Amino acid sequence: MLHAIGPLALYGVRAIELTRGRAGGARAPLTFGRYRVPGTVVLYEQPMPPWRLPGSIAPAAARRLESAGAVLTPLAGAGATLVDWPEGTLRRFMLEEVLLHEIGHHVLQHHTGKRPVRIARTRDHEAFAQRFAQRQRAALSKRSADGQ
Amino acid sequence: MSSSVTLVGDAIENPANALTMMHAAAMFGAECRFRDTKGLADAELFAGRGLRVIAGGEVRALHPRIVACDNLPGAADVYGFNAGPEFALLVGNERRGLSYEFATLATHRVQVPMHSRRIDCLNVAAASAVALYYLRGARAGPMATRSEPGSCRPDLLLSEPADHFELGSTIRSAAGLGWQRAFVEDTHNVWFGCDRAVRSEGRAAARRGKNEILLVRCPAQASYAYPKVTVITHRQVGAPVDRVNLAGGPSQLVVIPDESRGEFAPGDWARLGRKVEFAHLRLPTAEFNYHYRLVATIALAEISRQVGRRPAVKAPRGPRLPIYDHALKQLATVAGEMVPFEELLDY
Repeated sequence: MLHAIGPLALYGVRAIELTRGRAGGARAPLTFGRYRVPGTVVLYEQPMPPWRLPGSIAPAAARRLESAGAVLTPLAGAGATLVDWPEGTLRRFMLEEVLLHEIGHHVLQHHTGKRPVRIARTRDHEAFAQRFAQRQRAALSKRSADGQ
Repeated sequence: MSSSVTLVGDAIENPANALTMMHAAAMFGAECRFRDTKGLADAELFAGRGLRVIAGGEVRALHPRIVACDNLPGAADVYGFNAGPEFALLVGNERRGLSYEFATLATHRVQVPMHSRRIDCLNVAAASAVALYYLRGARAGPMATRSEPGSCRPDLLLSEPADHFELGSTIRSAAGLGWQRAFVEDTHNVWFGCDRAVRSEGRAAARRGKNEILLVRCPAQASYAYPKVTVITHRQVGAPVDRVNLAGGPSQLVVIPDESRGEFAPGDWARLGRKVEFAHLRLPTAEFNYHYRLVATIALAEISRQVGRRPAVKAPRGPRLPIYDHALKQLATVAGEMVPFEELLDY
């Protein structure tokens, strides 16, 4: 997938790590990925679906999960939300949403040269990474639709 | 008697300290002399004994290497200091330390690193014993350096002290070397429940006015459940003290028994914890005049060396590298729900 995006996504990437668990895991069990300057992308192992999440999920987040193929069922009585991932959709979410998002962080960090410093405010960094992931996802799906 | 090491007391005031210094020197096969400016030779304690005096020039003629033990500027730690086979060790007055004349005489300066801000020096005889122990070739490296030395400091039990002066000086050493709490098994009533004179003398020796150490009275023969207990003795029992880990933190209890009355039964210590080990000080002589403060302060200094201290200069931390997490935590909103107490069982 990264080859399909081109050298922009690969330049300077030191490692893409697939990691079991997360440091301080109990506090944030649903962390999907992490970008560590300079050039390290970490993808975390996810629990087996369905996920039972406390509370309700914000509409924007719910849209993102549903667009990746998740099936969200609010459990009104229990104050929780059931998130199910039908076959293959979680894998696609991790690749097309999470990995591309982290690569977006990496691409923005290109502008620092090789200095391991912060180039933008965290909010702007996240927004850029999100836009990058959306653009690349659209380009990839267009390319696959064109049969390339 | 000519010795390769000479302990020189500079203007010592207290005859009891001077006598203990002589015993400390004998413990390490060293000669002991005094620069007597306070009428020490006239003290009753030395009547008929003959106090050996020395002047500054004589010290220089006696040994080319003169080591001053005082907290002077530029003094190196006594731990791991190589003094060579022959030297004179200078220690100073109880209150004022080394005189200018003797301080300038020294070719080297060492100190016992202290951890307390309020107790910044040891009893002169105890300091002499510690310095002789390390300078006479105890196999000990320099003081450890740790980010959190406090977490490695073991608990301390001073067991069955027989003399209030000795216990007081030991408590002073414990406070100066960094302990904030010590247990005392006071079977001979030299600290708790003693008469007024003994009480005030003991507390004066401990510098109790500025010594903030918390002393916890322990009943005799009480049982404890420490995972590890280390008993430090001067007898050849167990491993040498420098080969035993004495930085086990609060799960380790270090016991320093007073052996002045001669009894030492290894079986008695099982009551203190699950695993009991013995460690002995490497003393060059087996027979000597026992002083609890000397043996205990050497043991405390060795623990202090192993526990270590924080690095003198904190390494500057580099800038924190940016990390960006992608988590659902940021996306999900947790809806709380109020449940009245009476409905909680049916909830």
